[in-house]
Amino acid sequence: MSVVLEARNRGGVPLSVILGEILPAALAVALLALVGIIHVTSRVLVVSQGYELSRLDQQSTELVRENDRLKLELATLKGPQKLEATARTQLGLVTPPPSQVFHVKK
Amino acid sequence: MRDLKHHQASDDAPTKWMRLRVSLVGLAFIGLLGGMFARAVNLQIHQREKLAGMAQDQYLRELEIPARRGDIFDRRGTPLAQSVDVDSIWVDPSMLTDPKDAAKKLSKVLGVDSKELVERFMKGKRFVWVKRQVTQTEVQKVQALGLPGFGYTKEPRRFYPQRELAAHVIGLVGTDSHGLDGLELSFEDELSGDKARRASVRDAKGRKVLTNGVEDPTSRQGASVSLTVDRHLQYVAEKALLKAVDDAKGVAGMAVVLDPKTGEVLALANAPRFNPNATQGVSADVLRNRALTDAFEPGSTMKAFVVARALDEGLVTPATPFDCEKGRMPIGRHVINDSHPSGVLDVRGVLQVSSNIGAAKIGQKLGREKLVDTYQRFGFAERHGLGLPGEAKGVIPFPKAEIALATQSFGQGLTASPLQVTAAFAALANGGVLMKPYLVSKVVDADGLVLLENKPTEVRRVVSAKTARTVVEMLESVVEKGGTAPKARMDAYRVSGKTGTAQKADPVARGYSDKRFSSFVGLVPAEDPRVVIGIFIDEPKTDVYGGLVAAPAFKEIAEAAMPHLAVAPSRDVPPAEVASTKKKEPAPAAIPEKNPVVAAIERVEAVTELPAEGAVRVPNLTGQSGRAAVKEALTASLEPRLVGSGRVISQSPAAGTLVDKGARITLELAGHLPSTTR
Repeated sequence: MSVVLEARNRGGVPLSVILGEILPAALAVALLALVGIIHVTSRVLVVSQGYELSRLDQQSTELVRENDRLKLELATLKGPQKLEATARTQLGLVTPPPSQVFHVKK
Repeated sequence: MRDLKHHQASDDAPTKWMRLRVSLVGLAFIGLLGGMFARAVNLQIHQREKLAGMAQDQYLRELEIPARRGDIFDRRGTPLAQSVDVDSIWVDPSMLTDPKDAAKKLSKVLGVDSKELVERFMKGKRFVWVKRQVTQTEVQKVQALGLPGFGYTKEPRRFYPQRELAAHVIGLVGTDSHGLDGLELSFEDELSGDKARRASVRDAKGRKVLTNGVEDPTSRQGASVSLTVDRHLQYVAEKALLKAVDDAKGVAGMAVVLDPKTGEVLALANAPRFNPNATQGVSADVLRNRALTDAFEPGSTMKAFVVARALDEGLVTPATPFDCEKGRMPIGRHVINDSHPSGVLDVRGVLQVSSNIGAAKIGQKLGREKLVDTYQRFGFAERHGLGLPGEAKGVIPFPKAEIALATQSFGQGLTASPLQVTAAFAALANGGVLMKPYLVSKVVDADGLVLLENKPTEVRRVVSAKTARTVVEMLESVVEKGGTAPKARMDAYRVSGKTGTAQKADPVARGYSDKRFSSFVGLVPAEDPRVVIGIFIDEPKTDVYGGLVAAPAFKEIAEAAMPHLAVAPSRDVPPAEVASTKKKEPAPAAIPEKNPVVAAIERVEAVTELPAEGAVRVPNLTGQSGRAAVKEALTASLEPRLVGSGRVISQSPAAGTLVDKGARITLELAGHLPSTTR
């Protein structure tokens, strides 16, 4: 570049003229390159975030399913039929007669 | 100068050539650009849609995300119906090397029909369901087969964690999670939610890339439905009802528990029950919510409303005497029988011993218009709109004939559902104001927006508060000694109620059959009723009377309901008294108490056609000593056959059955009864 400039300088074209002609074009190219780099980078980031989001979405779905399954299991285990059977057979509990039920008056 | 010109001329030749070449190249480029432009126009404009579609097929996949069906809860937030994602197995049949062999293997591990599978595989489709909504074990078994072309998709499946509990109320859904019965059907729109379709970018490896963010999962969730049903009371009601139906060897049973002050349905039970998680092979008869859909002739429970209206109109007072004609009152060619032949009874006595003749006479005083109006005001012949499919309306025909007026006064010749009867008693319990019964308290969508909220609603005042109180007090006598339902009496709480033992119509013979519809509807505690419990047993066989087959179930439910609802006892029961009372209780429930009323209801309680000549009605001999039973059987022109010794605990044919004179009656006897039951 400097050789070219010197060569032109030898022809008597001032350096300021050369810079004035080349610089805008160079800046435009640089700007375009920058925009291109930013665009590509953002796309890469978007895709990468898309993968991450997809992974988290899948994880969330799995957790929701597991939560639903556990809620169902809990509800099943708390079923009155099962509770009564457990209370009577394993814990030996019985239904209290009316005389054993005390009401606390306000 | 000449040299310069010559030099210039020699220089011009290559310049012209150069220009020509540049022009040619330029033209070539312009031509190429033109071609490219034309191609671009062709691709971007003319073939845009086709090419865009082809491109999207490569990187976009449309996913169908099924809606999550809303849950159903009881009044305390206990889940009664929930949805959980489970696997469904599908296959691309084109990838199967030997579809018949694959079908056989699948049939073994999944229990599906192999022929049906082969048929599905041969249809030429690239996607075929193998089995939907399978268990994890089944998935593992299919994976272990190592067959190519199989895929596993998550699909929501409906589960009912409380199993049979309130199954008739909740209903059920089909494989595609669409409601088929019960609340699942009635609230299909609210529960189902919105199915979502979403385009998802896929990379070269088929991985999902969510570049446009994630949709809010609540947006496709169905609304949740909260009921007024109390899980504990529902459980107790179902247990007691099943026992009652089983003991009575009945065809079916229904139990309704209402809060009289609000109209909330606390329990709605049916027997037989079914498990909504496994409905394959369950008949429609079992799936039917009889408490709501079936209308029966209710029988004597209706006497309470006739008496209430007559009192309200000032036509009678509790002490007004009625001649009950010694249990037999002919009306035209019909005869009204009283199960307990009585002389003169006051209104309280009519209710206490459930005199048909007394009720018919009160009905006559009331008149046809007022009788029909009474029933209509109590909510009969109209649907309460509980929100469940198939609610029965019942029929109250205008009683043109004198006999119709009489029979309708004691609950025959009209029809009502168990819910209607219980709700009408709730009106008496609520100081004469009929409340609209309701089952669904709230429907809330996934965002918390309340879509529906039911609050206690007054339908109308039916009778004055004073009249209602008077009737409730009079009905207390029914459960006391001398009433028709001493088995409903509670030690700690005052109980008020009415029995019913209706004859069932025989549509073939166009008359009444020997089948019965027995019931007991009670309010507890009588001084300020917190619950109204209706027990209805269809076609009981061991015993037929409401006081014997339905009242014990009422008591069982009431005993569980009172502490559960924290209701203070009506009277103090010292522990010792309870213990001694318990000791005195007769062990075998099948043996009825031989009090005057039970003895009285040994005969048919309802209007009956006179037995044909040569036929005789079988008397009720249960509870009698062998000697007395033989004597009574012989008096009735029947041939007794005794099995065992002691007192009669069962008989065949059942009491009330019409048989030929001289027919054999088998009496089963067992050990002696405690003296207190006599």
